[in-house]
Amino acid sequence: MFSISNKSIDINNLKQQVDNPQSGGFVSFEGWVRNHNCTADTPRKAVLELHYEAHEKLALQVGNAIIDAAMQKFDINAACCCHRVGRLQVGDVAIWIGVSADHRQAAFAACEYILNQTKATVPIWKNEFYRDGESGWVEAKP
Amino acid sequence: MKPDTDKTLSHIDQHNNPSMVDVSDKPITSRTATAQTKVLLPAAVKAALHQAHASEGFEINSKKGPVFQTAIIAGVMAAKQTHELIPFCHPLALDNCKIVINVDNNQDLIINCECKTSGKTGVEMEALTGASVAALTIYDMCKALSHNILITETRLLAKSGGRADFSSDQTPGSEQASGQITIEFYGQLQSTFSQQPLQYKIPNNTTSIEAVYLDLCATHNCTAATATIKPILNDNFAQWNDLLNDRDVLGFLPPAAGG
Repeated sequence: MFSISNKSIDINNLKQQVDNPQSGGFVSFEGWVRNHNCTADTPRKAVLELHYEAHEKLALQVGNAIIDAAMQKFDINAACCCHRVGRLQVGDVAIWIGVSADHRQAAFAACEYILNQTKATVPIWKNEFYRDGESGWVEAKP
Repeated sequence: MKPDTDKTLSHIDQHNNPSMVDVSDKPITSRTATAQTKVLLPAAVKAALHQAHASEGFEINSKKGPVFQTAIIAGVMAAKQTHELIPFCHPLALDNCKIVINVDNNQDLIINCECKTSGKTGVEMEALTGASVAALTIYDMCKALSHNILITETRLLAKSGGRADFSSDQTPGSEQASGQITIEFYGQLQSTFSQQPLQYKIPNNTTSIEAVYLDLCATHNCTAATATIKPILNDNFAQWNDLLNDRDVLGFLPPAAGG
């Protein structure tokens, strides 16, 4: 299941959703808010906080389609993803993905697939707030 | 406006077959009709127009030659051939056909075509054809710059001299509902356009999402990005050529940048 949360992500609860006795492997990914902007061609800027914004209805629709596609594409038993919205501080978990499978290879591959697809297609955007008082929307990365 | 319930289609006979209208008994009168079409220009063509204004005056010189002059000639030639194109349109001798091309406040083109004849039947089809082909010629002459040219709002402004005179008011397509829509911007589009939902008047219910978007880009001086931006209509993904209705909520999503 794909979900959107405006509160701190409850990782234990999410992990229970993918826990099952037939699985021999579990892979999870946590995306954190880092303390600097890392655009290649501009100087690093110190980041204080991020504001994530989503079109919630369509984000859930696209996100759940990604989970369904991953279930079809990979030999996995369960998968879930939760994305934060609202104001996040440095160190907060912005996205959590968990996948369980009979064997580890499929779990690793499915976890990366869900992450890449989410970043590329789920209608969520982030506005970075810098220490110097400025802010800027983060451009999509190819 | 109340619908005219006693109006019927004149080119269909009582057996539902196509037919020409017999005008043999109609009196010869002096008739005039004016049609208008709007050509929405993408940034590349607007830039060429802007450059032309600065140097040579009101004309874009494309590789194929002067755009507006060619469009005017094409429009007049087409108006003269209308009866060859439209099956049951009577052939008539045009007394005059005048095409004027103007630039509106949004730097889009307004083409007016006025046709005159002395005859038994009206010249609105000639005026509409002249305006349409002038618009198509502008497309052809400018398509090397961009294919994102939108021909829109082709309509009859006025006709006189016949049994039923017609004059449109300033609201195009006013027999259909015009309306107001709400436009929402997401992500970085809020810094380009507006942080708050925008109220936007649509002239009629043949206005496409793309037409509204191109208009917004023109008024906000930004380059259109129809390839990367996704339009949504009433909270569902939509197509650029979808049409808008009164009270629709239109949204524009920039490329996803979450994670």
